[in-house]
Amino acid sequence: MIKLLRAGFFRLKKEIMFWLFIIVTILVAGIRILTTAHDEPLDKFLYDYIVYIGLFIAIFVSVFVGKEHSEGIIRNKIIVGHNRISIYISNLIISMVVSVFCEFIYIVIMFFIGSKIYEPLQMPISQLSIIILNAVLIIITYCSIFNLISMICSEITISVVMSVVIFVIMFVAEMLIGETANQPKYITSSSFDNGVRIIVSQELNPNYPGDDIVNFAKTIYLLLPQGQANLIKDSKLTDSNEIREQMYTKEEIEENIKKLYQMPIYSLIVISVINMGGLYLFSKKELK
Amino acid sequence: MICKSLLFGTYSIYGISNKNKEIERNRGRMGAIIENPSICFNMTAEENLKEQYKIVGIPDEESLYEILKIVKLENTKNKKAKYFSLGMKQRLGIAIALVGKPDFILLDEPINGLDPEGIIEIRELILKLNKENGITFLISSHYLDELFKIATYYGFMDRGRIVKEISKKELEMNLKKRTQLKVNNIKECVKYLEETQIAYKIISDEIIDIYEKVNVTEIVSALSKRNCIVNDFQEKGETLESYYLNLIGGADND
Repeated sequence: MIKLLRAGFFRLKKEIMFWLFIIVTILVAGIRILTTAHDEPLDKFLYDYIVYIGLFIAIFVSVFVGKEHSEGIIRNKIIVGHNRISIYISNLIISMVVSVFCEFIYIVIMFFIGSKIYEPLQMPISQLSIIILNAVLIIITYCSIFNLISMICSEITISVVMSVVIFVIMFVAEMLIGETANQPKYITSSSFDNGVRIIVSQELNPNYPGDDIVNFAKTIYLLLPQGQANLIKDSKLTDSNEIREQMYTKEEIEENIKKLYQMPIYSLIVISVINMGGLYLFSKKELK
Repeated sequence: MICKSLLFGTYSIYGISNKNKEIERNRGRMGAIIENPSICFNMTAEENLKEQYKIVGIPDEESLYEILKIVKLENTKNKKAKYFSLGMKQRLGIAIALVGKPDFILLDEPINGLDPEGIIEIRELILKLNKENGITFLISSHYLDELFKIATYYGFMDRGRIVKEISKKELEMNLKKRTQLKVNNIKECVKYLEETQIAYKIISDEIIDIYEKVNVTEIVSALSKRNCIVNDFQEKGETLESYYLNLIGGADND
């Protein structure tokens, strides 16, 4: 495996998509800094790249890994004696390293420039740490999905198209499922007295689909990497403390924080299932 | 199959069966080019070889320039493989196969699509590597005449099965070298051949094939005494192509 990783990282230096991924990351960070209000806390922007990075991971992984098929590199590795499991996992590791590296480039740019122009970070370190862990796991989930597609498809064009389409499907699914998952059970009307929110009335939401459906939607939402990405940058976690106290109840905020600690389990389940499936399918694939 | 691309069937490499895990150690002794050479088009020849060194796990890249020289790609410098000609790509593929210092290389259709110059380059390279480096090549090709110039042992396949394995010596004997005579009196010629018990075949009213080594002067002299003039005389032999077609029964379709 070490030999495959060394060879893969050597090839990476020559891969245009790798350098484009880094350039795009820097550009996205720059555009975010230039186009966002600077009176918001840094929490709001520090890791919002996680919502879009899936698309760039789809393109990078499908091209980088797809070339292994189109240029006969996988065949070459097998001829010299490497087994399929090592080849699959080495490509996954390289994809993960690159993607996490790009996410960290974004975070570092945001942190160093953002800390000078945005309001200071408000989130406690423990919460920040779990968010970063979740971001890494989301990226690993994306890499697992797109690595599977690219290792199974012999045609690079099909890999790229399928990967992008699947990202779009996840993106749309997140919006649709999120609508159901985030349906409140009660509609609350409240007022403010000296900046303190007071609940005036609470009635049952007529559009509430039922506990079972909502819980099922919440589970699916947590399994989707895009769903997790949106939870991370949810305003209940990232808005300023003042706004959060005004807009949300303590229970709502705590529920979101609780989800942060559940997300790694969901990610690990998805990552395990996808990679086991991918390894099995790749082991059965006839290579030409 | 030998390269583990396919999942069915059995084979052995250096005496070890594919069912035995020990076979993996022997894979380091072989190289292969299956269909197209496995090269990274975005990299130069040197970078492709460095990549291969890393895949094989050889830290010392000392022999890299020597390999480039053998395949005559030492002057390609910064030219990326995507700009190589087909012949250059094939040679780079062979160079990549040479990285692990194999003693066996499998080539699948190595001269497909090459121009005559490219074919000659590949042929000379294979012969050189075989003679100077002691590398055994297993070549699969449809270019029978080209194979006849380099191979020393042949395996003929039809519909996925080997129908004949034969050495070059035996093949040459089987290709039935013969002498073809054009005469003005076929009857007298046949009479003479019958008397001298020389194997022959009548091709037409004037042409006859003799399937034994004969003394030309003697036969011409003997026939002229019988008023049979030899107007033309040629050495002929069956081609590898017609031999193969006869082997698989393709001649029946003519």
